[in-house]
Amino acid sequence: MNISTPLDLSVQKPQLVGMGDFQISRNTPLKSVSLGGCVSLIFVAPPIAGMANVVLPDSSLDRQKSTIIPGFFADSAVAKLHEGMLALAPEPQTWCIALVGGGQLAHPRFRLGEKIANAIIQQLKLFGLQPHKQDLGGNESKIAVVSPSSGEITVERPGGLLQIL
Amino acid sequence: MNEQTALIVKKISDLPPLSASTLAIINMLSADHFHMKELVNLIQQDVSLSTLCLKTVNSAAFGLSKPVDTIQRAVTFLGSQKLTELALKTSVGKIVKVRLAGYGAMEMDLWEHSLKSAIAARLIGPNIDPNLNADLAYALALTHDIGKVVFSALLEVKVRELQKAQGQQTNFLAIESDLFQCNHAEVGAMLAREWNLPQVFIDVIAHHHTPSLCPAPHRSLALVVHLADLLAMLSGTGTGVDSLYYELDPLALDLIERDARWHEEEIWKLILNLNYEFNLVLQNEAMAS
Repeated sequence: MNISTPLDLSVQKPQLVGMGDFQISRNTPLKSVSLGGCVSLIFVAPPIAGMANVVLPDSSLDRQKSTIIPGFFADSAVAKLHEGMLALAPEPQTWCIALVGGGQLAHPRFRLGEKIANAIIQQLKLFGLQPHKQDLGGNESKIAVVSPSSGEITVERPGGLLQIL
Repeated sequence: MNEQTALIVKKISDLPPLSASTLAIINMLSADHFHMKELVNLIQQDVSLSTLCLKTVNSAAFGLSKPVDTIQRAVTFLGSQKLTELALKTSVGKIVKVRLAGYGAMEMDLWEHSLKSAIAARLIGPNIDPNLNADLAYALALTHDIGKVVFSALLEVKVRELQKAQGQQTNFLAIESDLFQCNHAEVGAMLAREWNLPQVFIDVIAHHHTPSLCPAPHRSLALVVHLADLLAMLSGTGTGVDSLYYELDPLALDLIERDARWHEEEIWKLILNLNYEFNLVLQNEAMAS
């Protein structure tokens, strides 16, 4: 991971992707909300990028909600993002896949981020995919930003620290 | 008085006081019983709260076929919980909707975290204590982090020490106490005292990270707010550099070890409902404005 200057967001105003939302964009940067224990799944194949901010590992908790808000669950988020990316960038071997977020509380019962990340990785395998980059864990709530045009993924930490993944 | 205490006292005295009507509504809700007529009279005396009540109840979110033009009818539709939220929003809302540079929190972060914690408190409250006053739990969770508004100024002057300490330990409350000999929960309780809030607010705000140390009559409420705060942070609505940097209190550890309603999958379901209800509240707020 390199520390570098951030994207010039005054020129490219990013589109905010909420918790449980997913978004695919051509050129316009995508920015997650503050992730806490949640995991931002990012696909990028310039000039296309996709982002889903996954809140829970498994849609079996509520199948109906997974059809309304597919980005909320790891399994439905991967399927939906994969489908959307294929339509706009049909060569998966050129995609860069990243996982950001997954902050943890000290107690094992609250290690939600780890569970979500593992579930995403399992789902990606079903499509013959795997993450190439990740910035997971820790006690911080991170924000992910992806620029479809450059393919650059930036992680913002509280206090304004920016890192390029 | 050292420089740091003087800064805290000055910051507290710089904040606007709670409106008389907000304080009266909070006192009535804390007392567990109130007369509707008395409540309506109080709201009518507060122009901004009256306006907000009518605006909210007549918004598309309520979907009423006929407009509501009296406070008495508005109160009936709003219910005590929404009313508490609106009363706190007109006074506390203005205070917490600020950028907390010391915490690296944006303008709306503390308000949204407080709101999400309040919704979480309502969801988990009855499981922890069936006799709990839900409106009070909601109001307590909405105000639990008020001390951060003041404490942020202290953190701003020790950014490097803070970053160094965060690399060494994982309990933000202990970091605050080590660096400043007090923490945001204690400062919040000082603020609650300054505002003449009921004792339950002073106790719960002071102990929202340490409910096992809270005086017995208010311990259940402190536990509810403690867990609600953690759920809000875990589901992504924190307040900056301190998000997830807190430890579970022994009382909370005991609860989640012995109570099946805190098994992992149940926590996931809670987070699902919490996010759903939180988004609904934000949407309604957007529609009302």
